[in-house]
This record gives sequence, structure tokens and C-alpha cells, in this order.
Amino acid sequence: MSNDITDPSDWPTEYASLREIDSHLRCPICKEMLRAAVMLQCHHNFCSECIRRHLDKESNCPACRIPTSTSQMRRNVALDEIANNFKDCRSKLLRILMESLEPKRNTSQQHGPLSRSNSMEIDDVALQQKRRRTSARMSPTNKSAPKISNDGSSNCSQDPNNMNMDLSLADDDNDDRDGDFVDVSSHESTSHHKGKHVTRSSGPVLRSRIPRSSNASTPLELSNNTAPAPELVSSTLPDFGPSNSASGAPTTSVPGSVLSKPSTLVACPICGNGIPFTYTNTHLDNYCLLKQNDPNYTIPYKVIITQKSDIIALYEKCGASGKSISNATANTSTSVSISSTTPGGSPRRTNDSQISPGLSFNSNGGKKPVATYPEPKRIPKLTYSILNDKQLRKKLQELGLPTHGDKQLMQKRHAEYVTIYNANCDATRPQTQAQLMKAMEVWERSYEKDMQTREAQRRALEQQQQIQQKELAQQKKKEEERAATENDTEPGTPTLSSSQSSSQNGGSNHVNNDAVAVAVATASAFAHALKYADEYAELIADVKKRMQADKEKKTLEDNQQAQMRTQPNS
Amino acid sequence: MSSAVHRRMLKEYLAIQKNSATRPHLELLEPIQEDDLLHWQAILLGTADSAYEGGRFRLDIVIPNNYPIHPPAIRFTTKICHPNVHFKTGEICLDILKSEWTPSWTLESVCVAISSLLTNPEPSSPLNCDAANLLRCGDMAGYNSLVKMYTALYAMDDEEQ
Repeated sequence: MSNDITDPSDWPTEYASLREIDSHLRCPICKEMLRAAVMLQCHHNFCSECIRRHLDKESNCPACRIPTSTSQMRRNVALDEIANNFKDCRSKLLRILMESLEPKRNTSQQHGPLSRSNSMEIDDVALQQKRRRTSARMSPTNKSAPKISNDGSSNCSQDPNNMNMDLSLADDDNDDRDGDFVDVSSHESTSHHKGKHVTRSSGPVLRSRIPRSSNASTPLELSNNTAPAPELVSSTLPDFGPSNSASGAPTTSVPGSVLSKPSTLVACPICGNGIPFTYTNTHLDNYCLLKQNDPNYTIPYKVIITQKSDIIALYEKCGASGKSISNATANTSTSVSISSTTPGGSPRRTNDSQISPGLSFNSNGGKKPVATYPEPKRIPKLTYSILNDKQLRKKLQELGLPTHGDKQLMQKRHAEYVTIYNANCDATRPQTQAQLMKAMEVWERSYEKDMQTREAQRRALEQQQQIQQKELAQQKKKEEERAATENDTEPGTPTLSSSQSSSQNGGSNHVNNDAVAVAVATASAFAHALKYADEYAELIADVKKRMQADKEKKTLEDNQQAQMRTQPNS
Repeated sequence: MSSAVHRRMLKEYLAIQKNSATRPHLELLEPIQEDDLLHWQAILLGTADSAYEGGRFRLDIVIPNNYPIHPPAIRFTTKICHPNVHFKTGEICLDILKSEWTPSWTLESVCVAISSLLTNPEPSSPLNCDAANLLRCGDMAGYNSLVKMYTALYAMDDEEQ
């Protein structure tokens, strides 16, 4: 149960912005992800159903109290779509993030406080692990444990998500030497050039790996006219190539191939282009902050993402139709790479003939048809006070709702249905009529239950009151008796004497009401005084003590003043 | 309808458990019984440097079925001397529990509001006229000592409800 109860604090503190996103996509009323988001005049967003319920009772915004009404509500379609999609991917994203954080946390715990170069190395390790995890998980058909093979084609086919940036790497993975080489360089870059890094004020390891466009000097040739895959170029910088490749570090065979996989792309916060995560600082320092265009990464992140999903779709289709996956994906990866590296140009497709004809991916240039949101027909609210039972019943019948019960129940039923129906009109993923009817059934049941419990509570309260009244009556009687006996024994007190006289006047059997009241009052006052005698005594003692203390203080002060007066005189 | 209340209460319960460290004046905020999410209790701690210092004030919270559209019913079960709290019933006169309630409030935020009401009384709408009169006359010494006395009498003892 607690699994579907979500909260913005589920997100790790490292990703504060995700927390923010999460909290902004929640309705302030129900604290759930927005369902059928609507915006009020004051620009606050709520679930349509929640705000309708609130506006039935009060006509102001729950967040800022600015007066508003249902007629001023506007659907916030974009926000609703965002909330829906975020809801869909939330648990997955959260799991991936948590898993990616685990190794990082573990390593930093092991090493304790770190020197600068050390922490870089660890970051690198964490990144490697992250990459390995993501690449293993993201392949939808890869049900067995992720095997990291050095066979380029199979790697490529198993990992559709990475294809987009990985393209040329598929070839390079064939080369075992490359794997070794890459790994060594990354390790060496932190150890050999420690001095270099430390003297630098900012920009960690990445700086030494500035990707170079069309790098002719790289030992590997880039295939198929693809733009330099940044990760590859960066990790194969010729700076310390020869010596390192000869050194042959022992732990290179497997991690090397992993490292040669690119990190996932992220959107640059300034230009919005997709750049590798590890390349962020370099990109920012060398291009964006200098207001220059980075020739290596010219494609907006959004475009890359849409293309990526297209590839996944294609991949799934290929898998389903039993086509040779490696061929198809290899081709598409090429085509996408070209499209993504053609600045400003429309996405081009090469090798069309080789792609199975049923696949129309990317033919639209990654654009979806613009959706239109016609204003749906809503049920108008009724003024129930001017309707009689018959009319109301007719209205319910028209809506296909049950018509039993008294007017109050019918009225509530109608109001409930109007609320959920109209709220459903605001949803971009509306429920079916049958689902609404089911919700009404649930409501009907819970309403009945509520009424029953309320009835039970009312009865219990009545019984309690009756018992209390009985007790009171008994007490009164007792008090009377006691008063009567007190009258006989203590005729001295003035109030009692009066009652005595009156009772004597009225005869011994007949008891005067006034006299009884007085007697009861005095008796209760007496009892009260007895009950709190100790407390009162304490209080009085306390007050007396304070008064005495004050007096002593005063006398002391007086004495002092007197002394002061006498001293100058003497 | 009532399931929505339960969902929301469960949500609040989990949220409260998660960030329990961030509320110094709230010793406790939880359902009285695990299976009844509509009846809660809370213990407020008297703010340091105020007349309520050292006191533990128990609150009884009843959640209505149409929460959060309707506000929760909250009253003090510990006797407390405060201009806006009824001395006998513990009823609290706080606008956000009545007319100014909005569904975006949570139990936690309401408890914070009550906690701040303790140190910022509103003598113009009193439920405890004696305390309010002291304040209105500007007799801060009298008011503070009265509050201190009742805090010591009723709110210091752990057994006292």
C-alpha cells in the first residue's frame, strides 16, 4: 500500500531539482500528482476534481485566497500531460537514480575525506558503474544478466538506448586494444597528471579530454561520416597514447569496453543542446560561457530524445517481426547519427532501402501532429432548492443515475456526479463512462456507510445524554436529602436557614423548588471549596509569601534610601 | 470519498515520519490508533523563553470525512491558559481552523500554526476572557505569571492528560 503513496521527499537530496519538479506537479489539495490539471485566474494549478469540490464550498483559491469561481478555471493541458508522463516514469526513474547513487555513496564512504584528484577518480569509477548499469538495464530484450561483450554488433543491438550517441563505438568495440587503451588513459590521466589537475582552479579530469572535431590524428578512423563521437575522441586523446597503450594495466579487459560506452547525454543548461555528462564543464567553460557555439554538439537535447524513442520503437518493431536486429539497428544508428550531426538540416535518412518498409520512423521529422483540445460538454449545476423531488429524479434519470433515496441523497448524488463528470472533462486522459459509473457506485456505498456510522454515533450520544440526565436527577435527589439533613443539624448558616424556613413553611413533605435550587447551589459550592481547598491554600500561601517578600524588599529599599540620605548629611 | 481522506492521511503520516527532525516544537503527531487514521493526537512543546516553557500540551485532532475540504477539529486536552483557548473545553479560536481554512494546509502546518499562536495570542477574539483582559490591560507580568502557574500545574506532569 505504501508503495503507491508518493512524496517529493522520495527523491534523493542530490537531485533537488527533481524534488522541485515533483512537488510542483502535485495538487496542493490532495497532494497527489495532478489529475486533469486546471489553472485558476491566480495561476495556481489543481486537480480539476479537487478544486471543484473546494469551490462548491468556498469561492477562493486554496493557495492564495483570491476570489475565483469554476467559470474562471482553465484547463492546463500541457501541465496535465507533463504530470501524466511524469507519473508514468516516476518509479522507474527513481529506481535508476537510487541504484546509480548506491556505488557512489559506498565508495565515498570507504575513502572518507578525499583529495581532489582522488575524488575525481572515484567519480570516474562511479560513472563507469552507472554506465554499466544503465546500459544493462535499458535494453528491453536483454532478459538475462547483462553480458558485456566486446563484439561490436551484438553490443549495438542489445543496447538501443545508447545507439544514438554510441554509433561509431560499435565498430571500435571490436578492437580489444582500444578497450585497453581507453581504460588506461582514463586511469593515467588522473594519476600521471595529478599535478596538472591540482594546479587548475576548476574543471576536473574532463579538461584533459577536450573532444576535437574531425580528429585526424586519432588512431581509429571514424566510420560513416559520423561526427566525432565525443566520448570516443575524448577517451582516445593522443596526449599520452603510445606510452600508455604499452603499459597494459591489468584491470583493463572488461571495464575498458564499458568505459568506451558514452555517458548519457544531458541538456546544457545554457544552450539546451545535448552534451555528454562528463563533458559538461568543458562545454560550459569553452563555449557557452564565452557565448560561442560548440561545433561538436549542435543538436538540441529535445531532438535527440525524440529520436532516441523512435529508435526504441523501431527496435521493438524489429524484434517483434523477427528481422535481423543487428542489421536494422546498425543502419538506423547510422542514419540517426547523420541526422543528428547535420546542424540545422532536416533529419535525413540513408540506406532507406535496407530498412524494412513497414517502419515509418522519423518520417515526420520527430514532430507529432499538433493536438487540439475541443472544449467538452459539461453538465450544468442545478439550483436544488427550486427543484422538487420529481424534477430531481428526472434529472438523475437523464444522467443514468439511481433515483432512490430522499431528496437530500439525490441532491448529493447529483452534485457528486456533476463534480466527477466535469472534472473528467478536463482530463487529457479521460476515463470512460463506465469508470465514472463505477466511481459513483463506490461513492454510494461509502455514503451509506457514513450515514450508518453517523446514525450510530447519534444514538450513542443520545443514550449518553439520557444516562447523564438520569445521573443528574439522582444527584439532585441526593443533594436534596443531604440539604434536608444539613438543615436539621446545622441551622446556623444564613443561606441554609432561609431554605429551612421555606421548607418549614411548605410543610415537611412538600419541598419548595427554589429552596432546593439554593440548597443544591450551596452544597455544590461547598463541595467545590472542599475539593480545591488544598490548591487554594497553596495559592493563598504563595501569594502571601510573595506579598511578604515584596514588603521585605520595600522595607530594605526604604532602609537603604534612608541610609543614603543620612550618609551625605553626615 | 472517504478513501480519498485515508489516502491523504496516510500520505501525511508518511511525510511526518520522514521529516520528523525538522519540527522542534512538535514532540508527537500521530494517529491515536494505527487502524484509525481519522483520529490523531499531538504534543506541542512550550517555546523556550515563553511563559509556556517546559510545558507539554496534548492536542486531540479529529479529521472529518471530507477533509481536506473541511478543516480538522482540534482541541487542547491539556488544560492551558491562553486568551484564544477555552479553559474548560480546550476549544481553539484560530481563524485557519474555521473560516480561513484552505485545503492546502496539512496537519503539520496547522500544528505549527497553533504552536505559534501560543506565543502570539490574539486578545481581541478571546475564549478565555480573564487571560485576554490581563493582556488587553497590558499587564504582561500578571499574564505571564498566570500562564506559568497553569503550565506548571497542568502541563509539566507527564501523567496529566
